[in-house]
This record gives sequence, structure tokens and C-alpha cells, in this order.
Amino acid sequence: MSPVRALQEALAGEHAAVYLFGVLGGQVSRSEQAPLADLISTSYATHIARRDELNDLVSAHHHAPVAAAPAYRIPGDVGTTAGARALALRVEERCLALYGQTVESTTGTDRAWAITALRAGAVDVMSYGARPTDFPGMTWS
Amino acid sequence: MPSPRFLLSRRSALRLLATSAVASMTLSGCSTADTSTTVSQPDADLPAAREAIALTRAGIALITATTARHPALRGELASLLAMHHAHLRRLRTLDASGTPATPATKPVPAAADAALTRVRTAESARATRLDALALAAHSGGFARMLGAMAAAVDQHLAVLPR
Repeated sequence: MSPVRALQEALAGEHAAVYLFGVLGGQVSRSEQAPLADLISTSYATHIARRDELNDLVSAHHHAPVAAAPAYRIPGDVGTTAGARALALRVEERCLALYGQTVESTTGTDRAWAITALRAGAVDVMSYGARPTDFPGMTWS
Repeated sequence: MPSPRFLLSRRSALRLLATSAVASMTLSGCSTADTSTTVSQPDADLPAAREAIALTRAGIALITATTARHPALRGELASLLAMHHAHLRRLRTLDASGTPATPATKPVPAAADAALTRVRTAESARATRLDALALAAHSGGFARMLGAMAAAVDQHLAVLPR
């Protein structure tokens, strides 16, 4: 995979993550589920920052950053605490795989960004119930 | 000036988005793009593979010495130790040449909390070095593996009691 393609896929993932954490932020009651609401709020801010950084990285290659979709279908029921946590976990795990793919497909500044995102994302995913693994963000073929 | 061939039109951007990983997950249930990898390591990465093996063996030696001195820490360090063994198994598929001597470890502190702090500090340094090796790796797959190893250390440190 080309470096730009990997960055674009990671960026598309961040667009989706920003959208989904935005939706989750509106679903989870801050008064009734303050810890989860805080987590989601932090994740939302984190993915906005990564989206913006990826925009810059793609632009540095003289390519147009991929745009966000107008909307994303929400899989599952996010109206419950368990459903919201499950979706958050799924999004974080998917982003982690994309960071791993970006490490693999890039070099230099782009890879440094991806390694940082991979390491931070590996810890972030545990906030939603994931356990430590031996090779986060990696799927062996 | 960018090459027009690589400029994304809105249509191609949307097509890329529609086939990309998280977007496809959310747009069509859970059919995710394949992000799997096969790790191979060119000769140029052999010194890095050997260093990663040495780092991992040092981690195993430190935890083994620590739990020998403080058996009560075995449970807390079991997962970290298992992770190092998993890393070593993978690394040996890249460099099966010989078995180096077991690295020497400094004496383990007498106090358990000091011993745990020492493990934490050493693991943190190990992750930093793996990060640097990943950045410099010639093979993308090998870089991903080293980055994942650093991330795994971070995960295990996050659940290690302070």
C-alpha cells in the first residue's frame, strides 16, 4: 500500500471516529454516567486532533485529504451503556489497526506519527474494556 | 506541483472513504478492510532484529530475577512475562541464529515496590528503544511489528500496579 493511501485510510477512519464519538457524546448522560461521558469526551477530542494531524500529513504529500462522509450508519444499539461502550471499543480497535497499517506503509515523519498514534491508541482502547495483547494493532496473515 | 494522477477528486475521495476501514464498518455492518500483515525482514534489518531479541531477553531476565526475589509479584508480572515470551517467539522466526547468553541483571531491590518500579522503568526504556527501531526499520512489516511490541509494553504498564 502506498504511504498516501495508508494515510488517507487512517484519515477516513478518524472522520468516522469523530462522527461516532460525537454521536456517543450525545447519547451518554453526563449526569448519570459521568465516567463514561468523560471518556467519550476525551476520545472525541483525541480523534479530532488525529484527524487534523492526518489532514496535514496528507497535504504535505500534495494530495487532497479525503473528506468525511455526510453521515455514518451506527451499528448496534448505542442507547445503553453497554452498547455505547461496545461501539467505542470497536471504533478504537479499528483505528488501532489502521495506525498499524500506517506504520507498515510509511517512513519518516509519517511513520513517527503512526507509531505515536499506535502506542497511545493501544492504551486508549483499554479504557473501553480491552485487555493487553501481545501485538496491538497487528493482525497476522 | 502535485501530480494530477494522485489528486483525489470528490468522487474518488468518496469512493476511497466508502471502501476504507472504519467507514465500511459503520456503513455496511462490520465488513472491515483487511489490515493484516506478513512480517519479513530484509538483511538490513538483521541488527535491529537482534537488538529487539536482546531487549526482550533482558526483559525476561529482569522479570525472572524480580519474581525469584519477590514471589508475591509473580501474579502481577505474569502477563508482562508472557508478552515477552510471545515477542521472543515471533522475533526468533526472523533471526534463528543461535541463542545468546542470558543477560546479566543487577541485584533486585529488597523492597517489592522498589523492584516493581525498577521493572516499570526498564520496560518504559525498552518501549522507547523499540519505538526507535520501528522508526528506522527498512521493512514496513517489521516496523509494524516493532511498533506493536512497544504498544504492547505500554498496555501492560498501564495495568501494572503502581
